[in-house]
Formats: sequence, structure tokens, C-alpha cells
Amino acid sequence: MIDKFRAKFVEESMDNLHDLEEALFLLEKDMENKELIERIFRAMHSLKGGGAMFGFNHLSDFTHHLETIFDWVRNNKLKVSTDLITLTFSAIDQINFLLKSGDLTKEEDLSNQKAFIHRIQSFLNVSNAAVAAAPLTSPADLPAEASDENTYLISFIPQKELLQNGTNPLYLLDDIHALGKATSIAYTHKVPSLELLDPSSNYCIWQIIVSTAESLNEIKDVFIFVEDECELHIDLIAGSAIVDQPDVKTLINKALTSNILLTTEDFKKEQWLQAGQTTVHEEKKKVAIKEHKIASMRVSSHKIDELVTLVSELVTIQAQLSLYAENNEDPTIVALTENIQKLSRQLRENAFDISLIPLQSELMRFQRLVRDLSKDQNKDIDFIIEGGDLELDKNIIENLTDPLLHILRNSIDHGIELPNERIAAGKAPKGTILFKAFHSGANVIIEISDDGKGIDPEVIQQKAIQKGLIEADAQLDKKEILDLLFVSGFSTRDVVSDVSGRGVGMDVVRRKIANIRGEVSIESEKGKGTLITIRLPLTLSIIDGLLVAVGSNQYVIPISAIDKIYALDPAQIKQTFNSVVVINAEQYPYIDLRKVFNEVEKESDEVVQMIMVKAEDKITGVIVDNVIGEYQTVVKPLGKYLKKQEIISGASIMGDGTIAMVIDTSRLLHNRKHKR
Amino acid sequence: MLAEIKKQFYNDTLKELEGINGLLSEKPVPIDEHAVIAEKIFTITHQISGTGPMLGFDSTSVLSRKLEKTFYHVRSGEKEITPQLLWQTKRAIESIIKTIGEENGRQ
Amino acid sequence: MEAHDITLLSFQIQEDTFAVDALQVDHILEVPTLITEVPNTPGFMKGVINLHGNIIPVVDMRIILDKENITNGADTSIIVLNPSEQQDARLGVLVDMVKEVIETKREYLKETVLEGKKGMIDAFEGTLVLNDEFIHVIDIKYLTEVVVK
Repeated sequence: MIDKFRAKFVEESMDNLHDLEEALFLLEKDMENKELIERIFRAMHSLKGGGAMFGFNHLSDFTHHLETIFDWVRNNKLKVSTDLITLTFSAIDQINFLLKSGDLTKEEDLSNQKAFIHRIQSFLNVSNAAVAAAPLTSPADLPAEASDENTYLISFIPQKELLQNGTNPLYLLDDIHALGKATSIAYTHKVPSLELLDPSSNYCIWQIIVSTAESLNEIKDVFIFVEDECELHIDLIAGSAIVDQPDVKTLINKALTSNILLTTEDFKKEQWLQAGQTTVHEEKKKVAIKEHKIASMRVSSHKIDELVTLVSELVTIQAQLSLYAENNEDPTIVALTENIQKLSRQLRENAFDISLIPLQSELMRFQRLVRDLSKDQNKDIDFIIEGGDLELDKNIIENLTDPLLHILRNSIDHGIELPNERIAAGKAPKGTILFKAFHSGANVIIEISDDGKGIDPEVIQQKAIQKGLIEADAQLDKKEILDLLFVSGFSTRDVVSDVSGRGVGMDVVRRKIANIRGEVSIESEKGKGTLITIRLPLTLSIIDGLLVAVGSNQYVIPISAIDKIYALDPAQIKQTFNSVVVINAEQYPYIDLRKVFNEVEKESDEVVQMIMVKAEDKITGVIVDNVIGEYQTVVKPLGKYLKKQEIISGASIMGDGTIAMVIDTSRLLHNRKHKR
Repeated sequence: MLAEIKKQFYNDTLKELEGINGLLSEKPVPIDEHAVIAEKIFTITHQISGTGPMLGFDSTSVLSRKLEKTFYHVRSGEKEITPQLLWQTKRAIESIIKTIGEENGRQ
Repeated sequence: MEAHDITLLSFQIQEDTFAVDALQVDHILEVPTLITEVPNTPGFMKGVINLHGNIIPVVDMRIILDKENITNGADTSIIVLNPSEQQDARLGVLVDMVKEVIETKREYLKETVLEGKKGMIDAFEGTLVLNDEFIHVIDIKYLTEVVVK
């Protein structure tokens, strides 16, 4: 049982950390911002509390020290500095670690943790000394606890309905009396005569003066379940216990005879309030809390996946229904089917929309990376993000993070120069990395550009020749040369980190992006900078596809991968050599799907279709028997038994219930290359 | 059929509530159990607020909604658990137990 | 039900009778008119079928058991297995005939001694002797492992 809550705590804390990181970034830009400091303090506080509750004792202990720091900050005892922010950033990493690992057992981890806490404490010591040297100016900063006890005036004005939900107001009065010394005043002047009295209604009003060492929250909690049925004011009237003072007694008697409720003004006259203290109007604060509405809610991703699956199934069934309606004369069915079609389309769009999450959720990690790396390398970098609110399929985002981190790391390590190098090159000392995300049709484009030293195509070409990837006399244009960066043989660490300035693991980047049906390309100008463009589909589970026939089977080719379609005379292919076909005076390599799928060769002279598929900036022809049409289809997984079937990425159920397999074009082209 | 469901709901809910009441009767309630209790209270009151009105447990639902709201804030960390809160909660739960009994008898 | 009680679903493959754990059986289907072949797969993988909007791969148990002279008749069926503790692992198994559900106890299972060819299946959970008939119990987990290979 408790494990479930622990898991929930960890999950929520991760969100909390995310918030914390965000607030820190903002704080770094605006170090005086009280609201941010408060936000950070609160996040620390709830981590501490939750940690203790769920048995994360080391976490709780650790955050306790951080909480203290931010408590000082919010009380103006400590100033925010870059050092403090850096310390907190690394503390976030430690918290992350503690959340993931639970309480520490390894000797090494324990001593690390100890050292870290020591660092935090030394921070407090240093700052403490500094603050002590500089006298405090504002009296508000002085500790306010002149006495342990405070006296509050509680005005409890219930509505008539109070009694109907089983509340006994006398219990509440008892509870208040239990908090300290208290005197209650019951105002009964509104109680009607007996014949008019409704016994289930309440007509009384109470005021209680209580002197207690308990907190305001403790008092408020007494009324927690009646706050909707009453008007409640709790005002601090004195910083000491004054209930028994004769002047207070006089006031109470006066109130009882006049039936006029006491106000804080009555007590102000008596000068019990200490200088500098003002009446705390807690009521206002409470109203603010009440208005806090739930604008979003947490749903487990599992449930969303399930919803999307169900909707996908609905879309499939609906297609079957449409097919049936088409063959049916009944106009009612036709009309109904059209309506269902409309509704299911809306539902589908809605469900997919829900499954999208904003890119923002990952951007924090990128900001962290840029901040940390640029500090390490003494580089000055302005990281600008545009379009962070863009939403993408959860699965895409999950698979995108690593490649993006990789690209950014390259930009910092090899792109942006040191400030003095930049000045020497006639640039501003501060470099810029621009992260831009935007929609383009059914695709999402992410561009990462920097104004660093760019890539020298000459160097790349030389390295490629050395590596034996290209012939020494190969004539390549600039684009082709830059493309070599993505070739797996090229991007080994030793080649790149010295001169070419880019490319560590770019083949991995391309492969990972291809896995989510995306494409990546690179442009660069030597001395000026580099631009990397990633093109992604909006969602993975539904595609616009071209239905084709090969042998006895039907296949779907994603429309996004298709450039053109040509009809070819089989004779044209038979004459070709080395699987290259000439169309409009251009040479294209081609793949015959019949061969790939081990179908018998077609003997007849019927016209075949050549679908021009583009992947990785190249166009390859794919020969199929014929093209059936264009469909929007839901891609379903083939399951674990057919995982090895690489060319087929899934299957789709057609309107008539038959199955068409979805071809992974980049795999198809890739496999072909390897065979050659 | 509906009567069956009502009976089931009444029995299940009562059992849960009495269980929680038992936990709250410990004095003081151990701190390391706060989270579990808070979660339990939220779950059961959420359930009552959702199903109760459908089955005619109107007053019960009004009360449970208050607890649900409060413990929603407790779970989200906006509100702290104080001994006073637990004490008032115990009282509210006793009141719910009483009300649900009355409403069950009335039907 | 006590732990050593087991429920089996028996089926016929030519002259032999086999069984699987009935609790891991999802559906029993007639052979559909179309099983969509998946190219470049081993011979026992007959293809995929559409079961209520889900894609289920179908293997031919007779090929897995290395039988010859395979014919499909009116009784040929597909048993859809949903192996417990495995995700995305539903698998259709083509058999000559589905026979019956048997309630028995695990301790009645004897060590399997199977004459003749048993193809790719090397290990059985055991054999039950019922009315002079031998029923060989196939370990579903083992079967799925064979298919994944």
C-alpha cells in the first residue's frame, strides 16, 4: 500500500523539481524576485515534508538545509547570488538522485551527501557573518516572537443551515478552548420567538477571544469543515496572552449587553499590539486560496494510451461501417454513418490532442546543459528558445531528448568559440544558440542554430578520404560533404573532436530520429555558424498512407515519404542494369518490392508503378504492382513475434477488415544499401 | 438491483470509514502514517462524493465533499496536516458515519 | 481452487493429443478466409489476422511439430493464447481440432515420453493419461520463446 504512495510522491516530486529548476532559471535573471524565492522555498518545504512522510529520510534531511537557505533569503538575511544558484542547481541533481535511489546505503554516496550538506552549511556561515557585519535596516526583519503566545479574536458567524449537515457548533467552541485560554461570547439576539423557531436552524453568532501558543493554521483547522457555511474572521489582536486582563473582560461585557460584535479596532485602542505589528487579515488570504481552481489534472499516461487505442479501434470499425453503408441502399444508414464518421473524426483528433505534451517539459534539461557546459568551458552563450509551447506526441518527445541534447552539446563544445576567439573573428563575445520549433503542414520542424565557427567542408572531405569512405578524387558538392557527418564510419570521437568541429555521434542522432519517422539535415557556413533541422511527424500512431499491392498482399507506404509516382513499362526495367532506372534523363536507384518480399517475378507485360520515395535527402524508386489509393490509417504494432521483421513497422486494418502492412521506407532503403 | 447496489455501497463505505476512524483514534496519530491516512480519506471521500448522490446519500455527500476538498489540498502539499485537522477530520467522519446510517435507514 | 488444480484445453494434431493451460487461452476461432502473409518469415509463421481490431500473428502448430501432409478441414481451428506475464504476446496457434476442457491436478502429470517427431518443441510440462489417451501438455512460455527465435 505505502509503496503506491511512495511512487506517487516520487512522481509528484519530479514535477516539483521541474518547477524548481524553472524558478531558478528565472531567478538567475531576476535575483530580487520575491515571488520566485517564495516558490523555491515552498518547493523545498514540500520535498522536505513529503520526504519525511514517505521514508526518504536523507532527502528530507538534505532539503531541510536548502529550505533554511531559502528561508534566510526570503527574510532578507541572505542575498541571491550566482554562486547560490549554482549550488541550488547541483542540489537539484542530488535531490533527483535521492528520489531515484531512496535512502543512501553506499559509503561513497553517504560521504558525498555529507560533503554537500557541509557546502550548504558553510554557505550559511559565510553569509551569516556578512549579514552580522552589516546591520539590519528594516525592523520587519527582526524576529517577531516576543512572546510565545498570541491572542486572537475569532468571529464565527454561521449560516442558518449550519446544523443540517451534522455540525455541532458547541464542539468547535470546545476545540478552541482546548487550544489555550479562551472566552466565548454567544450573541443570541437573532434567535426568534419560540413559535417561529425552526429547531434545525442555527441563529447564534459567536466570538471567541483565545490566547494560545498554537499557530494560526491550527486555529483555522478547527473550522475547516464548516468554512462554507459560515463567515469566519480570525484576527491577531495581541502578541501576548491577554484574555484574562480586566480591560478585555470589560470589552466582553459591553459586547454582551449591546449585542454589537467586537472588532479589532476595539483592541487597538487598548494598545496591546506591539509596535510594528499590524493586524493580520487572514480572511483575505483564505479567500485567495478558495479561488484556487484546478485548471489541469494529472492522468496516468497509461490511461491516455488506452484511450488512444480505443479511439483507434473505433476509427477502424467506423471505416467498416462506412463500407457497409456504401453498399447499402438504406438512406438512414448512410446518413447515420456520415454522422458517426464526423464524430469519430472529432473524437480521434481530440484524443490525439490529449496525448500530446508540450516540448517545454524537456526544455529545462537543455537550458541546464547549456548553462553548465558554457560555465565549464568559460564560454558566454545566450540560449534562445522559440516555440517551446509546441506540442508533440509523448513517444516522439521521449525519443527526441537524447538526440537534441547531443546536438546542443556539439554546438557548445565545437560550435561556439571562446569570447576572445570570437572578438578576434569580429563577432560579439557572446555566442547565441537558437532553438526554434514550429509547425509546417503535418510536420513539426525543430531548428537548432548557432553563430559559432561552423564546419569546414574541406576538412570533412579529407577525413572521409582518410577513413576510406569516399574516393580521393570524388566530386562532392557541399551538401554531400556535410552529409558525410551522418555516415556511421565517419563520426568516431577521435576524428571529430580535433578539427572538423562537429559530428560526434551524428549517425546515432540520425538513426534515433529516423526511429520516430523523422529526418535530420545539416547546413553550415565556415566561420558563421551551423544550422541543424529536424523534421518530425505530429504523431506516430496514425499516418496518411498510400495503399499499394505487391503479389497477393497489400502494403501501406507513408505519404510523407513519397515524392512522385511514375507508371513504368516492365520492359523499361528489364533493360536496366545495376538496379538503376532513368526517368526524365535522371538516374534513380530502385527497389523491386516483389524481390524484397520474395514473391514470384511478374511475367505479364502489365504496367507497374514506381513510387519515388525520399529518405535522407535521396530519392529511390520502389516498384509495386499497382497503387490502390490514399488512406488515413491507424498503425498497429505487429507484436513481439514479428519484431525482427524490420522493413514492416506495423499493420493497418482496412475498412473491409483485411490487413495491410505498413512499410518503413527508411529501413527499406537502408537495408538495400547494406546489401550492395 | 438498485437496492442491492445501495446496500453494497453502504456496507463498503461504512467499513472503510470505520477503518479510518479507528486509525484516527490513535493518540497521537503517528506522523509516518499521515500520508497513508490522508490518501485513504481522499479516496473514500472522493468515492462517496461521486457515487453518493446517485444513490440518494445526499447529506453524506455534502459532508464528504468537504473532506475531499481539504485532503485534495493536503495531497498537493498546499495544506499541512495538523493535529487539529486530524481531530476535526475524525469528528467529520463520525458525522458522516451517522448521516450515512440515517440516510440508509430512510431509504 | 487449490494451487495444484489445473485446467487444460486439449486439441488434436493428426494422431496425437496435446493440451495447453486453458486459463491462458483467449479465444478459439475458426480459420478465417484470409490470413495475411507476412513476407520473409519462417514457414511456421502463417501470417497475421485481425481479431477485433488487433493484429494477431498465427503460427501453424503442425509445422512447429514437424508434421507432414498438413491439411485444413472443417475442424481446423485457431487457439488464441494470451500468455500471462507477457505483454503484446497474443499468439494464434493453428491446430487440427480443438477437443475439450479438462480439470485435473498437477500431480497427475507424468513425464512426457513422446514417440516420433516433435519438431521444435523439446520440452513439455508433462503428459496426462486420461481414458488410455496420452495428452501432452505444452508449456506456453516455452512455445512463445520458440516462436520469437
